Amino acid sequence: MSEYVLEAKDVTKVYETGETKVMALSDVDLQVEKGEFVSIMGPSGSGKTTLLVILSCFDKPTSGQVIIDGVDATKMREAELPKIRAEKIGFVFQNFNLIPTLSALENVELPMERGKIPKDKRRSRALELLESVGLKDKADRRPNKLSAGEQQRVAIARALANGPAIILADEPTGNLDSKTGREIIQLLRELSRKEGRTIILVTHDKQMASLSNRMLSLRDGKLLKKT
Amino acid sequence: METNKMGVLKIASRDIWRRKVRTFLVILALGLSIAILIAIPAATKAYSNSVETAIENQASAYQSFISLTANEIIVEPPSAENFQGGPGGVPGFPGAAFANVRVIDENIAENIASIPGVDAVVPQLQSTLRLQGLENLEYRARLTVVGIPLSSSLDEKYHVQPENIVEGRKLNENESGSVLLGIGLENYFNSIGVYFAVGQSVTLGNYSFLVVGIFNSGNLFANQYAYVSLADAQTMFDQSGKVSQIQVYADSVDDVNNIANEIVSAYGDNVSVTTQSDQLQRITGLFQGTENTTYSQLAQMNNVASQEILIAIIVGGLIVFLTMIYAVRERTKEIGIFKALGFTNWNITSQFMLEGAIIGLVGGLIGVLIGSFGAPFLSSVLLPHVSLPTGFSGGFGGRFNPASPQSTTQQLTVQVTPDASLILFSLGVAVVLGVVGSLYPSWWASRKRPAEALKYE
Repeated sequence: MSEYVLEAKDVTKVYETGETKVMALSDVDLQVEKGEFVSIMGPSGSGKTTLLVILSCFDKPTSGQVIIDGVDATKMREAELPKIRAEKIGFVFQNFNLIPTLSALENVELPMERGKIPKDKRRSRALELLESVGLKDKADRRPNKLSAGEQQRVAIARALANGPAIILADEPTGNLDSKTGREIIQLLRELSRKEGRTIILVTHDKQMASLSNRMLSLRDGKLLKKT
Repeated sequence: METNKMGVLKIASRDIWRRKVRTFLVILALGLSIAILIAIPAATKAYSNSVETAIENQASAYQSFISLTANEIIVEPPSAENFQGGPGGVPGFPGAAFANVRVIDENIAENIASIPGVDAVVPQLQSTLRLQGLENLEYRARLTVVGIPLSSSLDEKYHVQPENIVEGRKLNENESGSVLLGIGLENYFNSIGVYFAVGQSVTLGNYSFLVVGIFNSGNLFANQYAYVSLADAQTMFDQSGKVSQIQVYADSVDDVNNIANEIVSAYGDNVSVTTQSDQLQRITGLFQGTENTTYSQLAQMNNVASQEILIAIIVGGLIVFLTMIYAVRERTKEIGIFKALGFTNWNITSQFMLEGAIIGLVGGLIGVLIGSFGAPFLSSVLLPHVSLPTGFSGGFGGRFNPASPQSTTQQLTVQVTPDASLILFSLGVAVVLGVVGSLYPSWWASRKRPAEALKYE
């Protein structure tokens, strides 16, 4: 078994639109250890989102390998990918992406519904997670009754629901003011430090990225420098 | 297979109510489709049953009529030996006049009475008047004067006069200048401005008659009759010594054919003789005709019903389909979130199908309500009408003339009450429509790639 919780080997992604070919990622190599808090920076169009899409098994690379928690996701069938996403990866999106018709608690419970966790256990775990992001008292509120920062906390709690190996956060502070954004990044950092969660943060905000253990930079689909 | 999910059912039901107005309209539209699915078969079933019963009743009514008149022979003029209608018309209706009528000599009746085996003869003179300009009243604009012999013993045995007197009395023996009116003539007299009541004078032809009684035979035609003495009718129509029909009653049914043969041999082509078996043929033919008409109307109704049911099902399915397509498009991002959280294609498909099923179920329940209570209205609006012959129904009261039977029809009204099995079936159809209608949209939803759904690229 690999010592890395996440590994990308020579990952290349080419998008074809008619006769036009766009090299979104080119020979990306990335190894992330358990408990690391890695940030990936880059301007718009640099391939950040494509990398995240590939790492999260939303899409397969044109060539190369993605190994998550020892499992080569690029060799898996399409039908097997939901299981990987549910069990190994937690997502935090820029625009929170909570289900508007469900309460905060139900949103956190949602990823656990794929597994065979009994209902009462799901509920108590969801409450624990909400407590860990400081929102236990707002568990019954629907997303539209929560502030942007609170919604992102719920989204983080949801990302943690199935105890994933990695948390992928895509511009999680993009829709937040700087103070709230900083709080969210602090929360992610604590998760990494105290609970040993592996976090990959994609951002274009250098200040936020600076709070991570390791900063990577993407430009024109290539992982340029490692700090 | 995963354990029972809060999410799928809860999300499905909450999503349905997210767009309240749209959902309400969809459910209402689906409900109407289901209501049609309930009302139309219930109505066609009720009509079928009702037609069966009515035809059976009429068959037995005319069978009993035939047996009652088994010993009757009708003697009539053979062809057009006409008299011109009564010279007078009807006040206010200058064109109205009594119809021409074929007549034979009255003394033929006396001669027939002497044939062995003949119990009685009842000569009659009758003619019908139609009020012009009131054709839209159909049979109600018609009045038939029947001149009859006024003999209490004859009446007692052969009911020459109608039986059911609702006001006043029957005509007395040898009474003159009096008339016994059918209750159906009320409209007729009202339309020419004459008060319709016992004790009033009415003008028939150029003669004035005192109304002594009003009867209700229970038969539409017979209720348009006005009975006067034979002598009065002959005077009125200027047909002294003439009659238009002789009813001959044999002592025994066994004598009927012999008597008929004797009449034919005595008068040859000068008369037309009709016996029970002839009547049977005539009435059977007429009965068959109306029965066929009713059944063909019923078949046409069933045809229309099948088409309407098919349209209702297609429209119902289409409504769900379009709604679910719209719902999927609207929730593309949400589908992406579910996929990102690791939900499988089947999870997504089942959620949208469940939504379709819930819409189907609620729409079905609304449809059951509308269909159960509105079935009579829906069926009357959506189905062609079925008419039943009424000339045979309600018995053959009065002096309904069996030798020249007439028929009229009446629109059939039925009690439309859907039964439990039909309701359950329709509810099942609603749910199936909901599921089938959302099959493609939900499959389409599940095929979306998570990145695409989240507008990543």
